[in-house]
Amino acid sequence: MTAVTDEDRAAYLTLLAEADTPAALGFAGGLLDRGVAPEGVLLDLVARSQARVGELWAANEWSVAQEHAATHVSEQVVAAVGARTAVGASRGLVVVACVDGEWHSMPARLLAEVLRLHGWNVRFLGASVPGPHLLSYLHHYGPDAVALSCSLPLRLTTARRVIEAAREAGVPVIAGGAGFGPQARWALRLGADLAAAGALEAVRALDGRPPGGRPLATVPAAVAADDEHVLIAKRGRELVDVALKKLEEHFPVVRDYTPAQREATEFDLTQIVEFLCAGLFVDDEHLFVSFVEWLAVVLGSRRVPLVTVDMTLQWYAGVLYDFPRALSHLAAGRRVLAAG
Amino acid sequence: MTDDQGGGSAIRSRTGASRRARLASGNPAAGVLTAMLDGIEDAAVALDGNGLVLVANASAVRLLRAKAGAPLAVPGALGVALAGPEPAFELDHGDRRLQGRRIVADGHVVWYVRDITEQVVRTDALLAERWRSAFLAEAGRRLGGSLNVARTARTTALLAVPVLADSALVILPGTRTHLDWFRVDDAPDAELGAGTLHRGDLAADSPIGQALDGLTVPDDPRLAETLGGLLADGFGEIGSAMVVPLPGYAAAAGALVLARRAGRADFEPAEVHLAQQFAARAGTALAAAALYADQAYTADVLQRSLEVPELPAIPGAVLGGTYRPAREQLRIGGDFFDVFPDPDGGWMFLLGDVCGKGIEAAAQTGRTRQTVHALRLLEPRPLRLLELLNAASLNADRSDLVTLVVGSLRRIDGGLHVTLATGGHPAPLLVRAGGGTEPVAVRGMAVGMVPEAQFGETDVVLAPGDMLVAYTDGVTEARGGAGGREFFGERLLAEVDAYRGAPAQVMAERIAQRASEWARDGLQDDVAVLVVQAAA
Repeated sequence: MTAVTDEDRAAYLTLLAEADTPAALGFAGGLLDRGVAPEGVLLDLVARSQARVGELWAANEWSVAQEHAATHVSEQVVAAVGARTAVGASRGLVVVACVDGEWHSMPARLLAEVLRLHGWNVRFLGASVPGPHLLSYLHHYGPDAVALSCSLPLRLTTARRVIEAAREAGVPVIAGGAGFGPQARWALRLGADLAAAGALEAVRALDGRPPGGRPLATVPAAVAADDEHVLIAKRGRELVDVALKKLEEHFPVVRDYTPAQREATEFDLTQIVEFLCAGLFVDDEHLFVSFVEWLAVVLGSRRVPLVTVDMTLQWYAGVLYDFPRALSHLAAGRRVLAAG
Repeated sequence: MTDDQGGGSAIRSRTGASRRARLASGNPAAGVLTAMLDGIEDAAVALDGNGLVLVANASAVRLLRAKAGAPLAVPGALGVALAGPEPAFELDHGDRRLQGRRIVADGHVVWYVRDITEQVVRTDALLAERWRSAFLAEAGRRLGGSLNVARTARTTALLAVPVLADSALVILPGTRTHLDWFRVDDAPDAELGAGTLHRGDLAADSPIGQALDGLTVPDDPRLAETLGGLLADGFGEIGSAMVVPLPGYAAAAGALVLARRAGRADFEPAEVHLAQQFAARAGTALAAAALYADQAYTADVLQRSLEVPELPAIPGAVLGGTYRPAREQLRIGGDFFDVFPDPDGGWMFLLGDVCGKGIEAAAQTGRTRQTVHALRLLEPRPLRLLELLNAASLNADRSDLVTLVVGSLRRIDGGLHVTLATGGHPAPLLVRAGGGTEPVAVRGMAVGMVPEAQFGETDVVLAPGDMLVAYTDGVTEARGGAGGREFFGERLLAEVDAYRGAPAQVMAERIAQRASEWARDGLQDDVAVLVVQAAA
C-alpha cells in the first residue's frame, strides 16, 4: 500500500487555499488510483490537512471564511471517497453525532466514513445535534452504539448529559475528539462506555464489543466534587462586566471600541470563563492551561497584547476569591503566560 | 459504657469497710463479686427497707448517682419510677432511653436499669430505612404508570404530600416564556392547583431557576419569601422549604418545590436525601413522558433536519441550504425550502415559514408544500403562484398562514436571471461578489391572510459569484448575546460580508451556525437558509 507523503499534503493544502473543489476531488481520486488506501486518504491526507488549516487560522494566516471554505472542500472529498469505496454494511448500526453546540463536524464525518469502511452501518447526524433531538433519534432507531464527537471542551457539560441520557436509553456511548482531552481521557470520567482519541481507536474499541450490547460501565459519581463550575458559570456575566470595566480603566482605547469590537472582546472574556468552568468540571488544570496556550497563539498572532489576558485572569481570581479550585486553575494559566 | 478506670462500685468507695467485712466473713471472693457487679453494663442497685442504698455497681453510680447509705436522688420521671410501685418501666431520661425491672429479695429491693438508647436508635433507623425504600418503590411504581407529562407531574406532587412536605409544587420547563406548575396541598379540601409562571418574573438567582439548572437549593430562610406567592392561599407561614431538581434526559425535566408549615420539623439530612432520590425517579418519569409525547411526531421532522437535504445540480447555479429545528421539540415549527424544475425548463425555488408551532405547524407545512408542488406544474410565474396559493389556502377549511419567498431561475449570458416574489417574508439579501450587500426591494403580505392580498415581485440579475441569501426570521430573531435577549438581527449582514465569495453551502451553514451560537440557550424558532449563487 502506498502512503500519503508530505508533498501530497502540501499539494492538497494549496487546493484547499484556493477552495478548488473539482481539483481537490481529482487529487484525492488520484491518490486512490495510486494505491493509497481510502483510510489513508481520509486520515493521512484530509484529517491532517484540516488540522493544519486550523493552525493556519490560529496563526492568523487564514481567515475564518477561508478555513470554512477549505473545510467545505474537504467535506466533499470525504463524501466522494466514501461513495467510491462503498462497502456493504455487515455489522451493526452506529449513530455518529456532534455534541450540541459543537460545529466542528469534520472529525465526526471522518469517523463515520472510517467506520463505514470497516463494515458498520453508519448514520451521520452532523454538527451540533441538540441533546433531546439526538435522544429521540436513539430511541427511535435503537442503534448498537452512539459515537459522540466533541472538539471543544466547552461542550463537555452538555456531552455529559447526553452520555447519561444515551445510557439511560440503553445505547452504549463511545466518545472521542479533542474536546475530551489528550487520549480522550475525560470521556470515561463523563460516563462514556468507550473512549477513543481518534477514528482508528474508535474502530478498535467498537471491534471489541458485541452488537446490541448494553452499556457496561457504571455511571461515575459527579466529576467534580463541588459545584464550582456551575456557580461560576452563573456568574459569567458578572465576571465579564468586571473585566470590561477594568479593561476600560487600563486601556482607554477600549472605550472607543465599535460595537463589533466590543462584542468580540466580550466573546473572548466569556470564553475564558467558559473554559475555566470546563476545566473545573473535569477537574483537570490541563484543560485551562492548554486553552490559555492556544489563546496566546490566537491573540498573539492578532497583535493583542497578552498582558490583557494575564490581567483578566487576575481580575477573575479577585472576584472568585472563595473558589479554591478556580484560583488554582487561574494561577496555572497565569504561570503559562509568564513562561511565554 | 462502663467506666473501668474512673469509678468503682459504691461498696468499695463508700462503705467499703463494712461491706467488705461482711462479704469477706461469709465469702472469701468478695473482691471478685465487686468486680463482677462493676462489669455489668446494667445499673444494679440494692436498697434496704428504708430505701437507702445498700450496694450499687459502677453503672448505678454513674447513671442513678447512687451513694451507699443515702436514698436515691434521681430527678424526673426516672426518680418517680424507681420510687413507684410498678415492677418495670421504660422511659426517656435526658437523651437516653432506659428500661428498668425490679426484684424483691430478702426484704431488699434491687433495680436493674438498662440503657437501650443505641438499640432503639438502630431499630428506628432500620424501620425508617425500610419505610423509605417502600416509599420510593411505591413512587417508582406509580410514576412509571403514566406517559402523560401533566399526569406524571401531578402524581409527583401527590406523592410528596404529606410525606415530604405540606405543599409540593412541580415546575416544568413549559415554553420559552412560561413555566408550567402543578401543586398539591395537604389541606383536606384543597384542590389540585395548576398554572403557568412567567420566566421573566423569576429573579436571576431564583431558587427555581437554580433547580432547573440542576442545583438542589437547601432549606434557607430566604426561600420562604421567594416561594410564598406560589403556595395556595391560606397555606400559612412557611416553616422550611427546599427546591430539588428533577433530572431528565440531557436536560432538567423540572423542579420540585417542597414547603412545610411553621411548626413542622425542618428537613433532616436523611429527608433531603430521600427527596433527591424521589426527585430522580420523578424526573426520569417526566422525561420519559415528554419523550413519548414528542417522539412519534418528531421522527420525520428530525429526519428532515438531521439528514441533510439534497439540492439538485442546476446548470449555471450553485445552491446551498441548511435547516435547523428549534431546540425544544414541541416548538419545531414549519420552516422549509424546495428547489424544483418548472414547466418551462427553468428552475424554481421557494423558502417558507409556516406561522405556528408544533404538530399543527408541521402538518401545515406539509399541506403548503403539496399545494405548491401541484400549482407549480401550472404556473411558473412567482407572483401568480403566490396568488394561487393564497386563494387555495383561503379555500381550505382551515386558514394556513405562511410567509414565502418564491423565485424562478433562468440561465442567461453572464449569470442568472432571477424573478423573485415574496409574501410577508424577510427580503432575501443580494450579495454582490465584488462588494455590497443589500436586501432585495420586494415585499408583500403573508399568504393565507386575506383574499385580495398584495404580493411583490421583482427581477434580479446575478453576475458570476453573486448570491441571493434567503432566510427565515428564525435567523434574525435568534435571541442571545450577553443578556440573552438581544436579536441576532443586523449581525447577519456582517456575517454575510465576512463570507462573501464563499461557496453557497458554506454561506448557508455559516449563517445557521452563527444564529445558533448566538442563541446560547438554543434556537427558539426554526432556522432555514437557502443560498442561490451564479456559478463563477
